[in-house]
Amino acid sequence: MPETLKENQQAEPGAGRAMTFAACVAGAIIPGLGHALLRKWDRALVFFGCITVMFILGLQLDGRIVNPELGSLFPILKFIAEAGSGLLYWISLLQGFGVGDPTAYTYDYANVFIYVAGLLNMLVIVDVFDIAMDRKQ
Amino acid sequence: MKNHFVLMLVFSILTSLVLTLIARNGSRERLKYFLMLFCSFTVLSIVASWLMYLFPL
Repeated sequence: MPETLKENQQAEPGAGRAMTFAACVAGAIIPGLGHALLRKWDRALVFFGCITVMFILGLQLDGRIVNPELGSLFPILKFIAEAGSGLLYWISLLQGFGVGDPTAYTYDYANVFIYVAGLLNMLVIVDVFDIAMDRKQ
Repeated sequence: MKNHFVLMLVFSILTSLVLTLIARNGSRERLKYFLMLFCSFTVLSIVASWLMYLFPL
């Protein structure tokens, strides 16, 4: 392999640093957008659909959006899990959705839907990073 | 849609879909992995619920 080509490959793995960063940030803001930037349309659509449906179902079933508070450990962990959904979380928080009703029949399920939506989006961001770095297809 | 079992199925389908697309390439492998994940979610949830039934709070 020519030396210049080898150096270029080491300096710019996969999609390039700027594109990798942009894709990860985009994925953190809107689920699936990072894959769309990398032209992985099928994954982008499924990730956006699944994570958005899970989050909205959680809100519809009387789930609670946790405020970002630096108090005890569990509220912080809940906040991190929910904020993983990106813009979905912040729009819900700012619009006052997700007040939560602990007496509701589906309250626990709803919270699990919201937490898991955020946690899945974190995995999706790691997947975007791996694709952008050419570690997987 | 307030049925816990239906909600568990919806949760299993959505989560399995995302995990399958992250973990596998190729449509055949994806289908097998999706079915394996979905069945695991469903069956293990039912088993866990019966185990909890034996030990009421």
